[in-house]
Amino acid sequence: MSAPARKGLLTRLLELGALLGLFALMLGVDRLTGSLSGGWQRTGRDVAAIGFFLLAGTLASSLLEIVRLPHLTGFLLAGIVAGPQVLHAVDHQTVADLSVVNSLALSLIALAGGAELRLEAVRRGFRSLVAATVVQNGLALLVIPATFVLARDLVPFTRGMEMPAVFAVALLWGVVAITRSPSAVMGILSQARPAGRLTDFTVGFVMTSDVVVVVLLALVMTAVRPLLQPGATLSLAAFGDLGHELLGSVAIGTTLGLLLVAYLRFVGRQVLLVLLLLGLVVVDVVAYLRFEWLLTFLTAGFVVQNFSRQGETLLHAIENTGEVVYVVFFATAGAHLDLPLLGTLWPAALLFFAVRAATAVAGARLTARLAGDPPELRSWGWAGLVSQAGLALGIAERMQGQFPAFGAQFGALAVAAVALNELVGPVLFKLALDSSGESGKGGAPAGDGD
Amino acid sequence: MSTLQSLFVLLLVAYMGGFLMGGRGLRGRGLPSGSEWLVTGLVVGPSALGLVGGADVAHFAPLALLAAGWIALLVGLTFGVDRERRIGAIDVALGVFVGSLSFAGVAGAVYLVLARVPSAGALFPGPRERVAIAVCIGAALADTSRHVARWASERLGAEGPLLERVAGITRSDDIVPIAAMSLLISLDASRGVPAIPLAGFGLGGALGLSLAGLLGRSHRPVAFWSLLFGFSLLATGLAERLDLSVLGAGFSLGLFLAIASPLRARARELAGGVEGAIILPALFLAGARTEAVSAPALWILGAALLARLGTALVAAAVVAAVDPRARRGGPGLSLAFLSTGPLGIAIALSVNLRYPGPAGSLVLATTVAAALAGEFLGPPALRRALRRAGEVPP
Repeated sequence: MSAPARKGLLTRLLELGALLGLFALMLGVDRLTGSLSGGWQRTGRDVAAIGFFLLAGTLASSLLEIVRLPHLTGFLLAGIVAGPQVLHAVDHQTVADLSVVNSLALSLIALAGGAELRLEAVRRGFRSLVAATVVQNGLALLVIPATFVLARDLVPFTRGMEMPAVFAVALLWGVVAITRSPSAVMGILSQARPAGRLTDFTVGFVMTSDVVVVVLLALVMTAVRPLLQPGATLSLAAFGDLGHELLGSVAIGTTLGLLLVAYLRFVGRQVLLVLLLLGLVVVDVVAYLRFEWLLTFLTAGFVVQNFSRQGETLLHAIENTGEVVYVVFFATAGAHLDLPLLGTLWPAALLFFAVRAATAVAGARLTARLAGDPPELRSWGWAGLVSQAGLALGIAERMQGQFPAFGAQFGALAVAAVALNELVGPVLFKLALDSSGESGKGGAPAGDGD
Repeated sequence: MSTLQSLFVLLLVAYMGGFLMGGRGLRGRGLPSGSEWLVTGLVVGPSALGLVGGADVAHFAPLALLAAGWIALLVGLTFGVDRERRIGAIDVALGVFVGSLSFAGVAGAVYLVLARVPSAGALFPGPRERVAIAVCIGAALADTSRHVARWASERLGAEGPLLERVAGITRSDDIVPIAAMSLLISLDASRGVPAIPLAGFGLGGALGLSLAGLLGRSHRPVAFWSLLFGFSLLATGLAERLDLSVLGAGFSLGLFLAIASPLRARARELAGGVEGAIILPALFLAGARTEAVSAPALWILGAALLARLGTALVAAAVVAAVDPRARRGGPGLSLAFLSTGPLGIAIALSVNLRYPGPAGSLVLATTVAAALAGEFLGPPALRRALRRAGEVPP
């Protein structure tokens, strides 16, 4: 079991006191300096907010160990409570300023995800992965759009739409629903340090699911455009672009991986600086070239792990950096959560959350039967697939540009549904790793003493 | 490409440039004061090639703030110790003396030029402004780089009592510029915040004790790192928001943590481990922000450099008088005290951001000039002195 609660009552009280003191300090300074403005105030706010999120997230996650909740939930809760929707210890502008951490965090997550994909484990679980990819995505693309159509009365922006248009929007919603969260999975792995079939399967599925989502998104958008935009025709040009994007991403990722291998092998110093460079610059360069940077980083990590002896060195370096980055990333994500919106759209969001989770459970059972999976996969293979985060929101944002007529409301519903998945998913995955006995088998859990 | 991307690409160039200019290939240790980063910043900055614009560079205020806070934290954490060896009281006293001498000598020389040379004085006519400039330049040039002793130990394999003396002094003199800058900033009410003398030390001290309490005796690396980094950022950010001294807050955070926590050695190891990743970009930024100074300002710059040289000569003489072993290093030892380091650059950079305009530019340009001069003169002089003292293996 991961992160056993070894701390005494006094330590817990000290942590609680420090957490409350931190909130009081931030709010007090905010009150004292509320009338001041200028670039120096903004700089101070940003730097203090990163420190605050790091501390509040770390302390909240430590306190939540008592009830065996994952650290990630602690990071999110710290962000929600401190954020502009609740206590306003960190304001909207600061939360927006901190979004620069997102690309850094996601690049590290993709790099670590690729490095966790060991060829031997992929080969061993190949049958399960292929079966799950087909079953999970196929089932979700059937059940979730059908639910959307049936429950369209709960979705305000579909009122007044013709049935073919509702069907088209439902299919787009289906694509959003099949996105997973590599960040949540990696966040839990960094805490629980698990090893086993469930871990290998979840990492393999979630990391490769991004590619599946990108392909399906292009397919579905091409197919539904004529139903949503009168006068639009079915164009296959998008597939040429997609092929170019995917192949290019893999090629760049391979090159990047080889460069990383050479760096780690021959230099091996200031790896932190190189990771910062990758996360803050290479991400944008790859995106500027219109390649899929998550796939690029995934490939780079995969190359380092499987075609060199530097895989563990890379993972170790990412872990050291990632621990800090994850806390800030998820706390910022918590502060970003639009709670008033969730309050408005909760019936639809709750329904879609429940149906999506139930589909994942059913998909896991069916996959296990088809692929002959071991019991831990049969029971818990679905748990790591519930979390959603950045990719779902990214797709929703893209919809706003592509379909302005309903994109904004579609995006709002996605934010509400993702909020639920983001909060509940990590708890379920942690529970699954603990219950299947895989937690801690990959090394000392992060919350443990050493 | 965005500003951030440009900067990081250029940082990569600087990093690779560091290998070449350091002349040590892939060992990548570079020069003791990190001057290769300063030079690369100068070359690509608005004053030379203009690959990074002045407005672009201004976006990186958080980086400068972060570097200043982290350097001060390290200074506080390692105050009175050199690689877990306690520095003797004599070394601490000599360090404080050398730092005070450099500060007073340089600040006095700058003030004298401002008062006596009409063309220089016309640049900064206000008496308060003159005092502030003198204090800032004095503080930035008061520090002798701690890295110079480490460089001699790691690069030359040097060891012996003279090197220990130099290491002790260079580790102890940092407190002078930090105290001077903290006092100056806490008395400056130009941002509309009431002056509370040395409140930055109080904030950092309270946070340092809280951190020590939270760490307890347990040795959990992940939480340790998050807490150390988090408290440093919080102290830095809150000090800036309250217009307190970031250097003072960072220093006392480190000092109180080192005093109160049994895990001080681990904290030093962790904080020192990322020193390069935080400080080297700041050096690059300082280089990129450096502008050419006007002809009248050259009087001030020249006077500061001469005063620095003069105080180094006096400091070496005093050290030799106190410690007979130091005499074995010969007269070259005095130039060894010329190396100014990242702390001086961090001070100058934060002054440059706080007082944009001619005053900030002059302080930064003077400090960069002193760092480059010190880099060329300091390490070779130390090597000669150590060789003469028989502390460098043949």
